[in-house]
Amino acid sequence: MRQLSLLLRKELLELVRTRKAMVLLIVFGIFGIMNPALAKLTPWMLSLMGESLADQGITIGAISVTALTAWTQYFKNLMMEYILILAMFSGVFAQEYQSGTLINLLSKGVSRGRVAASKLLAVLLGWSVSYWFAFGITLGYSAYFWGDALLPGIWLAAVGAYVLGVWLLTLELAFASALSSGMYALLLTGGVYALFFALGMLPQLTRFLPPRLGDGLMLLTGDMTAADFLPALWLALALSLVQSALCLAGIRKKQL
Amino acid sequence: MDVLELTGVTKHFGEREVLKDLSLRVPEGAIYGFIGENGAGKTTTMKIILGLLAADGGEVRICGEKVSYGGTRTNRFVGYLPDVPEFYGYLNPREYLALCGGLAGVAPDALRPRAEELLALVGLTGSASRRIGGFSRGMKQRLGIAQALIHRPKLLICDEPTSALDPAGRKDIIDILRAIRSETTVLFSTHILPDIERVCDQIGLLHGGRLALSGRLEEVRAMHAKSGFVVEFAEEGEAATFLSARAGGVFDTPARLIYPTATRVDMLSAMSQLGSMGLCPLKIEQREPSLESLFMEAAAE
Repeated sequence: MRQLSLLLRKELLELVRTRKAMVLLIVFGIFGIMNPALAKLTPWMLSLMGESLADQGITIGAISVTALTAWTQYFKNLMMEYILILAMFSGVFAQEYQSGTLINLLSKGVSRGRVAASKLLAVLLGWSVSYWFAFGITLGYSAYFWGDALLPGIWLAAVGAYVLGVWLLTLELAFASALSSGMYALLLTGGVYALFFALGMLPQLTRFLPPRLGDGLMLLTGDMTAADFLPALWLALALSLVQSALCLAGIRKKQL
Repeated sequence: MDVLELTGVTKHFGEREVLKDLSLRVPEGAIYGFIGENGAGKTTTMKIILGLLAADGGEVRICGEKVSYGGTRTNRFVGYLPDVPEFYGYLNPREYLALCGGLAGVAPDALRPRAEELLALVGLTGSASRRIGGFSRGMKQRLGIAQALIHRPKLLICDEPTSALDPAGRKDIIDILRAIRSETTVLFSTHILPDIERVCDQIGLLHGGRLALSGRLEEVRAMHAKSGFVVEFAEEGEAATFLSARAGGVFDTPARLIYPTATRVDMLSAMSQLGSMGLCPLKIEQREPSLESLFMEAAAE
């Protein structure tokens, strides 16, 4: 337990001192602010363009902007959040394998599994803080602008999008702990996502596969029920557990 | 008791057989010089000892316990200094030693004094609060020794600790190794022979994937000691004069004669002969094999 907490502390210190934590908070903060801000500014921007549009014969009727507009933006931007966090953490193992920094620690008798576990925990912690930070900002501003921002279905949709991130990150780390290149881990993760996405085109499978968790917006608009969403959530959680176990196993057989 | 025991270890990388049936013993308290040319397999051997690489065959025991690949239990007895130790640049030496010591199971209240003691030993007390990212190679090498010793290991393994350093840096490392010899057994790999002669008492020469030569340094020297003596003159004429008066020598250089089969008695008589002939040589000495000549001899076999 002491070893794990020391290693986790080291990982978190690394996030802070290499400024990764700062970059994550700033970028996710911007994501969070952009969603309601864009929604709020849309009518104003359109009215600015209104005259020139009118000249071209396009008339703009009254545009009603609501919290749903902000959440629409929020779910559209999610893919960027996933790509950013996956890119940021793709090298957590490769960096140590390539530079040889792990050798000093392993030659102290630390189990390799603990090293992998500390990285897994640090990455998931980084994702949790970033994700809920962006969510909180969108929620706060939406509530400020439009009053009722907690639309029905929002919590399930938000948790679903969060779990999709957990699934992607554990998948990436399972590859990363067994490979010596962060780039390969990132590409393979993208490949597996694309595969699941393609399989999801089959109507019988859609509701079971993790990519469905990116469609949370449909819960808010009423185009989907929780029953169409939950199977994917449970499967993504189960896969995340398996992938975490693979991540711990992958480092065991790594020649250093 | 042997702290480290390798029996019949083999390893290949693809087609290339790096270690063929390597057996090696390091007795407790020794400073063992592990010699071999570049690419002989020294680092591979050390990584197998640490369980970082899988051996294809054979057995490694540390303090009687078997080493298993991927497992790290036996490493609690071991301190390891890699050839180019790498650190987390965002930590300072104190934080790094606290991390290593904690991971090695040093009790929290003993950790701080031990870290300070080691920082003083390796001369880094003044830089203990600076980030390691800005350290020179020599400083990293010294910090490497400190991290390897933090848990008072029974066996310290140093992989070419002096190879990348300038003469001053090399002397620092050798002095540190001398200072800790009472605390721990040391296995020390290098291809720099003078370093071995300065600090080691046991040697093993790795060549062609097995130990070509091993034992106590003096014994190995004695075993391979060539008899005879060497006389060196200031002028070539003097050497020729002496050779005509005393047969059996061969020219090594024009002013230097070797009497390869002479005994100690022969050497004494040669010295009185020099006196009676009024010849004063630059030097006259018994032939003692240098580590270098042993190395070349074993490598040539």
